[in-house]
Amino acid sequence: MDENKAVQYLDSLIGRTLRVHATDTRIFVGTFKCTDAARNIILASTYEYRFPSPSTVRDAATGTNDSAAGSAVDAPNVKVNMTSRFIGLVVVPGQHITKIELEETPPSRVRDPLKK
Amino acid sequence: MRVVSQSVVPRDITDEFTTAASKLKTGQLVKDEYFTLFEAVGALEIMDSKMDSGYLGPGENHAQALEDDYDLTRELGPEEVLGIMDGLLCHEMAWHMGHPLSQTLFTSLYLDKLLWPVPKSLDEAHFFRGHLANNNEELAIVHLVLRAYCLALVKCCDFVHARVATEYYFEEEDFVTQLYNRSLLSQFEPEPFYDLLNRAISWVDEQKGMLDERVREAIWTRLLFRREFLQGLEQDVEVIQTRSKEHFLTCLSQLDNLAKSTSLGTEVPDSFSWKIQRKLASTVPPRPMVKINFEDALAHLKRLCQDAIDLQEIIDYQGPYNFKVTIWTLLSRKPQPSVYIRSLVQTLIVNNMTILGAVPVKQFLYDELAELVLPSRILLEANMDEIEVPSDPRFQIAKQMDAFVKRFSQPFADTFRSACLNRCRIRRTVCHTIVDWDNLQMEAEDLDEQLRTLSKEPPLMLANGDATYSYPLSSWAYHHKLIQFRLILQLGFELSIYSPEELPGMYWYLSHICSTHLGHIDRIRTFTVATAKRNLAEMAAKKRDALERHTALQKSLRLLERLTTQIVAVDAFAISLHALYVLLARHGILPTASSAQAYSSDRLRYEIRMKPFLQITLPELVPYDEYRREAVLEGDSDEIVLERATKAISEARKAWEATLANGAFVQDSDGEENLAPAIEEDWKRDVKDTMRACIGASIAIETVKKALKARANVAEPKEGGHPPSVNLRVTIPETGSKARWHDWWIVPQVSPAAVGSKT
Amino acid sequence: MNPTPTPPPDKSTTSTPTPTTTTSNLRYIRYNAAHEDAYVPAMRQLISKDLSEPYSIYVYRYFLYQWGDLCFMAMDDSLPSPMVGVVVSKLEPHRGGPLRGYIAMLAVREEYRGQGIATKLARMAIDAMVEREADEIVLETETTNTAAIKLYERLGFLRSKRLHRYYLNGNSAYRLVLYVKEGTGSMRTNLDAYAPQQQQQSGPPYPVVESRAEMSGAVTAPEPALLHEGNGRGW
Repeated sequence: MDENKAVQYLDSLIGRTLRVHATDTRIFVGTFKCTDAARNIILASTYEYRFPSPSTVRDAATGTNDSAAGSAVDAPNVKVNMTSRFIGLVVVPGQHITKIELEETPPSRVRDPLKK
Repeated sequence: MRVVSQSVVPRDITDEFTTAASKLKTGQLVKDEYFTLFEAVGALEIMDSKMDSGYLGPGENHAQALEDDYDLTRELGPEEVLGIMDGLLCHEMAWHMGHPLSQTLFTSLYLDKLLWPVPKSLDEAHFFRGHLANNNEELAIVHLVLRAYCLALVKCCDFVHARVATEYYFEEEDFVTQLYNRSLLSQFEPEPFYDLLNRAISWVDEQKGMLDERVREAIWTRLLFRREFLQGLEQDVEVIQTRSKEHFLTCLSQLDNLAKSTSLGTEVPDSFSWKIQRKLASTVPPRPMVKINFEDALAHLKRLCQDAIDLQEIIDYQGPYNFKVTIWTLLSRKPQPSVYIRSLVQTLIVNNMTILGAVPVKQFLYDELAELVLPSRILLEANMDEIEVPSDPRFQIAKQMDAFVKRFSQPFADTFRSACLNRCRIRRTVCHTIVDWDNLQMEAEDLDEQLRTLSKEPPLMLANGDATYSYPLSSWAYHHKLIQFRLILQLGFELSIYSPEELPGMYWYLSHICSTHLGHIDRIRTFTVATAKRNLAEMAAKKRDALERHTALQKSLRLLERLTTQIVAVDAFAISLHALYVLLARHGILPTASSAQAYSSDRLRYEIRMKPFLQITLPELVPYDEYRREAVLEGDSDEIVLERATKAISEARKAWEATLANGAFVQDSDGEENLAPAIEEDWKRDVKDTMRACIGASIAIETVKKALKARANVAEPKEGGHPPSVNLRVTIPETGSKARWHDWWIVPQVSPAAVGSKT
Repeated sequence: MNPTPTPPPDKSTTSTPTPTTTTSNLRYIRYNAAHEDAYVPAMRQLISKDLSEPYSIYVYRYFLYQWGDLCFMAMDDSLPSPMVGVVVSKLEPHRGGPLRGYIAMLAVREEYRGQGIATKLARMAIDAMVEREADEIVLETETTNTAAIKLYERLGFLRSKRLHRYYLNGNSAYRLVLYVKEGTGSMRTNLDAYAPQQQQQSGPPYPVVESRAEMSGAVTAPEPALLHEGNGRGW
């Protein structure tokens, strides 16, 4: 990937929703606004998701299964299982990022009711 | 129609992203074109302990990141309940003082349990939520007493929050309305809270002999206090109707008991946790828990209750002048009344175009005009509803006057409301409104001209043969603008805005504004008297009105006289301090803030100081050269300047005496009883402090006089030699210090220098 | 901003703290973007030490990418990490009116205070702004930071207003102003500088750049998002 392509690629992500995983296992979900060579990522309107404590997990009922894709941990049931809160505009420094995910709506999930 | 699934699928792009980012150059950014670096400044950095409220420090157990081991269902001794109650009160007052809930009340695990998840009914708000209900009778002290106290406390906060947040003019820096996605139980009516408190009180009553009596009483007192406090706060603006001081008086009477019994309590520090900030929806950096001690909390509470009682003295409307005195005096108390009180006063001042819930703003404005400029009655009496013929001049007058009311009621009411801001904000707001009033004055002038034609006002002939007219509306507007000029300067002194070397110039400017104002009041008086004389002739016909008119005239003249006395007092004091500072500056003993190598100059400093007034058309700006000459009293010898200082301070003392003797309020001639005794006391104290400052200034002037004399006696400067320096030490007392008698009057402390060159 | 790490300037002349390190081998240089990777972390470390307000890397970028030539550093090359002082500024038209310089941060390492380093750095920044035709220079400082206030007042700054509870820690600030050119006060701006209507802050929840009022319009406003979740009302 040359620099032009790199910029083009990153540019294509601007405005999309990213899930940025941090070294401490928290996940930040927000609108991608800006990044740099050190992979510092600015997200707007961000929610922080944190894994529940073991005791809460024990207490919680199971049965969450919107099974679109991905593992039980980082799939949409993230919102069900993990505690979340709004934290607004944040920078996640590159050195603390373990994983970056792009939220997509897979075309296969689009149904045409006429086909029923 | 396409139905899109709610599901979104995350795709791992770590590698692509990382590779792409690594191709960027140092300093190169890829960003949303509408997203600026300036916006980026507001981003909180994750994993930085100072910015990331969710950050866990090294060694912090991840499993316990959100949860505290504290067991909310555990048994508490009565001493512990007492300790928790007082801990909560401290946090409650800290919130009142301006700290966010996230650093104060919301750190309480007990409150957190009651408030989150948001309870659907009050019954649901329990400490054992999420556990099997185990309403053990033995734990009534927790589940009945502490719970009732906590719920009622939250409801108190709800009333305070509602009052402050609904007031349009409140200040973010004084009070944090943020609730972090929690509710203060606003969804529940107050009644059940009283029921709970009463049940708790009964239970405590029944425990006589079963608990340590002193602790039992202490808990009882707190429940009682909480009930009365809740009732006082629930009353809110309805105080206009109820006129009840009862609840806050009861609160006040309990405060001593609270103070005495707090030591019986045992703190339960584990029941408060700053970790709560990790759970709250929050876009601010994490901040430590605020700790204020019980003494400070009680002091704040005491002032709040006292202010809540005294604010009832503003409710009886006795004309705009008296109203303004009560408002400004109450809100200038030191320390300034709390945000809750200020918000409440603001709502009382004007709500739904009504003053104090009783006086329509039009009436209010007309009362003000009648008090001050007493325009010919036709202006205030013309009523469009009664005159239906548009060709009737009275119809036209009524139309113009309605336009005036429409335009001026808000800015006029705001001159009262601005007193409700914090002191810094008052000055900045007035710097803004003064420009509006300059425009208002010009608009009023246009109205005056049209009204003059319609009312066929005869001119007043000046000595030089020119005709002039009364211009009542614009005269009134100018009066208010000049008050604002003075306020900007005086608050500048109060807020320590001016550096020592500026004091001669600023006090000169204050006196300049005062003498302009005095001239203006003389003009108003001239027209009031002239109109009265003219009316006298007409009145022979209509005797019926004579007495009423005479009373209004006398009232207006008395007010003008009172204003003259007050402004003379300010003027004379300012003249005297100006002269004193000129001497100190001349002899190089006035401290200076700027150094010889400073980037600024006198001229540039003058420009900064005149900034609020540069746009004002009247009074005209004093050009720099004139300002400089006046500020240093160029051409006047030390003797002349000394004489000026001495004369002015003695005149000031007399004028302040007279001001004090006039009292705070304009009384109707029948000398009715004073309806605002507490506020009048504050007003008197303020005048007396000013008089003390006058005495301080007299002494300083005498000291300078002696030193100058001594120097003159000792050494006639030798030919070509320099005169010896004046052997004095000068310090400028800070606002709030003991030597600063009054915030608005910076009287220098002048004393003989310890070691000197006395030859 | 200017949260004020400003050291007790030249305090050695008036009172006790004797500098533990002497100035002999100090070097004053202008920021160079080519060395961002080395300079910015050093700056952050230096400033965050006595900072009352927390700043992200983007706060530094905001200033350095646009006004790197108004940033100056004092370096002691005998140290492994040589940066001992820094001043960060910006310069832009204020609401379409005067060209306003703004000293955002000024910090000197503790052991190096009392030698006039802060004054020297401030002067370098001011001189650079004057060279670039600044009309005025402003900054804020905590009312309790007498050392910083004195430093700037000696340079000719005046207090223009007091900002109540301006900082996150609850402290108030003074706005300090220095006019460089005559006529600055009369220059019209788009908005009235005193407009109280502008108070509503939608920028960062703590003062970063100039008055909080000036942040309006910046950054995604947090409040509406919270309101969507039901901000404690109407349940």
